[in-house]
Amino acid sequence: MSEPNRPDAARPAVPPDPATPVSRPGLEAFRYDDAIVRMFAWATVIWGIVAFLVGLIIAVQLAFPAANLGLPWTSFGRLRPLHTNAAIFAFAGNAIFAAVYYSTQRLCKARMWSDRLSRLHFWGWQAIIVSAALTLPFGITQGKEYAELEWPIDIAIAVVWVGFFGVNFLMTLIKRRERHMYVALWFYIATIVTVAMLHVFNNLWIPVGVVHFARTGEVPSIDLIMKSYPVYAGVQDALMQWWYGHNAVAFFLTTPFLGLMYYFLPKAAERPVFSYKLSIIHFWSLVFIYIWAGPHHLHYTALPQWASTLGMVFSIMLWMPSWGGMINGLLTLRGAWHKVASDPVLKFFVVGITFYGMATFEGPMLSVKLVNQLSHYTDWTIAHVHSAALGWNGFLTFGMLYWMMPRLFQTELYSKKLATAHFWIATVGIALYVLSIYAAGVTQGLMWRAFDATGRLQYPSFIETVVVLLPMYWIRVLGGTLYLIGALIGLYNFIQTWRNRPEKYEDVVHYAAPLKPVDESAEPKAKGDIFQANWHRKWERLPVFFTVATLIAVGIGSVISQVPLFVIKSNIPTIATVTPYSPLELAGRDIYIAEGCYNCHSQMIRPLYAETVRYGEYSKPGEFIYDRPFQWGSRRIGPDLAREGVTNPNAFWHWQHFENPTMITPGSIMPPYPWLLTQEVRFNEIQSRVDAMAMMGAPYGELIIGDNAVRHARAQARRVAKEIESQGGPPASDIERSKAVALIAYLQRLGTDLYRDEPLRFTVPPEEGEEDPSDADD
Amino acid sequence: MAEQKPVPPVEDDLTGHNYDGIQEYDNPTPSWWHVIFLLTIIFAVLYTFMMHFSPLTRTPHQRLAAVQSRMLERQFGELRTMELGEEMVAAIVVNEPWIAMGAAIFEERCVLCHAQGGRGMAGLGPNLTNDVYKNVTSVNDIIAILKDGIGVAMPSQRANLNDTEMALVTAFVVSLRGTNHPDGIGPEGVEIPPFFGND
Repeated sequence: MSEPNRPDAARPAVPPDPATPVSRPGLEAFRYDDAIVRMFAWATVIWGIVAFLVGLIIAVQLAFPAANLGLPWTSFGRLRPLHTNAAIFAFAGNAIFAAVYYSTQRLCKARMWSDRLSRLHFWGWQAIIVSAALTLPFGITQGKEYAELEWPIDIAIAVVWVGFFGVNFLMTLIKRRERHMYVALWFYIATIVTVAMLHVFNNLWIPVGVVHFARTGEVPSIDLIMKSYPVYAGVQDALMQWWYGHNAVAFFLTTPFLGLMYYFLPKAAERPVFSYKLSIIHFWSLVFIYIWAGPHHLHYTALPQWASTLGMVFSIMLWMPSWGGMINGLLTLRGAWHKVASDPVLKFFVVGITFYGMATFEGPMLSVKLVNQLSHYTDWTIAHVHSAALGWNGFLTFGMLYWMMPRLFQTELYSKKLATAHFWIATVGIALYVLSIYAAGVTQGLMWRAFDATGRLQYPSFIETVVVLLPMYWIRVLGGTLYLIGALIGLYNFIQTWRNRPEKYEDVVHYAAPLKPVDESAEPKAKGDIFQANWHRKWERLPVFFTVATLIAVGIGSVISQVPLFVIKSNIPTIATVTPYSPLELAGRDIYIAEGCYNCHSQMIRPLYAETVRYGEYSKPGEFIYDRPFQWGSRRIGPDLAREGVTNPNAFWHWQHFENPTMITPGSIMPPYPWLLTQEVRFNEIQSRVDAMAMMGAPYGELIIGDNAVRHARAQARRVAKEIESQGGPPASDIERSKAVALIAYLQRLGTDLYRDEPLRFTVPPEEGEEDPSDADD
Repeated sequence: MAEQKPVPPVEDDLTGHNYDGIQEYDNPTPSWWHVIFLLTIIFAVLYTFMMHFSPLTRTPHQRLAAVQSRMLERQFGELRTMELGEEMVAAIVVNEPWIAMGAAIFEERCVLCHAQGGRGMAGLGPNLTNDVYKNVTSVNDIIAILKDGIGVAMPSQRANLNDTEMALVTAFVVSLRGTNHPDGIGPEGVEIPPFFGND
């Protein structure tokens, strides 16, 4: 394949001062913007340490619940989303941007298209991270995993990602001086278009505060301003969310890091990439297949079986496309293995790629329905995620940083020894973390399904299956501590390297010829063999076409796996007795979401015998049609709550349990929620919550007139409060406005509609002193 | 392919590509990669067909129903033909394994409020280990409470327990009487005569 236009070959001898541009016939002079890379690199390190620290705190909380500190904003349910968002979007996100900005300029022989967009991207993204830290601990959340950030931040993400990052990147591709796009750039393209698509479609909502303002003309509380309900409900919301959640893993934590690997690994190893053909086939098979696999997060749930099967078989077919990246990475090191022994950069890369290989084998395995029966809702998932996040994303990032920092600061790395120490400490940390948590996952999964000789559950009390995990939780704390220590050593090393920087960075001028229009007839002819890849060579010259082709590749699976659930009614059979939540229950549900209860409690009983014995009748798709968002959960740190209203509707029980869980359940690791007992529900805003739901089709009848919903909520709150009082709790008049009462009303409702003879009917209570249908005290 | 480039130590052909110094080999994709990829595709097609188009495959819900009836048979056998009532409970009370089953159900469903060993929790569920009862004067009263619940604290168990399970747990509750749990909470209600006459 001849290259008619190879600027390399034309590169002149080094001029006396590389920072001063000189005129060269036929060549353009340009400089790379390394300042923006330095900014993203620092942000990566700093946010990484924040993410690891918050992770460590919540790991301690599980082993030692007093570490929740009894404060709302430091409780596990609120901090866990902060940890995941910081790890994914702050740490990995900034690492991606550092990699993209460093490598894209060099692969395109062009400065980023717009310095202003680069800066807007950087500061916009950091502002989004800060706004996450200012909302999540305060219970402002959408309640969907990894999509917790509320609607104003969603808009900001879309603007920064597409408008600043996407435009800047694509324009750089268009203005490039390198004829063909290297494989790293393909993966960046896939990342940018797919994440944009996932983010937009999973974050369609109605902001409740806007409804409130339109209805009353009053500015609501900050909680309501930030609150939104998704346009999808129940099963549809679940499918949409895990299409998003799974492909966030694919296109935020896999494809950009493969792109990163394809640039920095051959650079560090100084070896050619093993196989260009493998790059092509694994890229296209990966982006085409990955997008279908989301439903494997929902096996045995109320999701229709066809979607579940689709998720499983595409996950299995994904195995080799994923491994293509590992093969190309590891085999690129042929002839360079002696360097791995001495170079910490390559050490990080080798272990990172190995973790990638393990995780992408384990992923398809976990997607097999029978394996998933055992693994789902257990710590197995957590171990899988962390072997990928700490091993693959973390180690690739640190490998890249150790390679890049000395080049960015135009000096030597301060200490190779410290970098090697970081590598070993972090490796031991990961090993301790994942091994203990794999053990915890399998242990608990087996205990949940164990039956004794008489055919009853061997561990009928959920708490028995929790306390056995505590030693393993402490080992995880140790592993996480080591990983954090490693990162701190890295930070020290980077700071010392930075201190050795030159007084003024040398801003080298590069020269390359501008691209001329391609004379396709001069290009080699395709030989009819798709593995000859000449057709693909042409695509690599066409960034816009390539972007559209990628969008089609990810669009096909998205449409086929999503659309049937929305258009074929039989997928979600309706149940006559299922009605919307009452106004108070709806307010209680929003408290459930705000407190992050879904981080520890599922609401989905699978049609598996052990679950129906433990939790009751399995969940039906029609039970969730008013759930916005769905709250099925992904991990049972505590028991499932789908039928809590059937199995445990005792109001005073819940009241005392919120006050102090260990008083009711000795050994419980649930933190106390004393603030729920004292903080009050904003009753006057309940009407807007009901109206927003009614706008999306929930039949609330006359409750949407005037402030009927508020009156209904007050009456129900009084009934629940009286129940609590009658059992020996505080006087009803003291507690009827509390958040706990609203939340208890919601819990009492959960899973009960299936057992009603008649659907609930909402009637508006008379002005004051309405009829009280509560039974006589027992 | 007429590029000038440093000869790499591995003797594979290079593609001639060069991006910021990164070169690429023209190696074929490993054949085992193709083979496994093809096998996973074949598996996907066969599995989908088996799961959704084969009359022999049961849905998870059908499998669950089969397991449920098998487990009922294994656990309760002959009990299944009896009718829920005092007589059935009397038959269970004298049968050690069945009482153990009742104890297991009690632990699944009742200890939340009646606590371990039925010692009771103030305001939530009364002590079941003394001779004093709040809403009960006979075995049939216990069954009725299980079926319909009573007051605000005790919910109906119809959705949680089948008739056999209700009989088993009733028998266990009957057997708790007089065990006088050392940590039991104070009595609520009145003393009632023995459940089975000469007990």
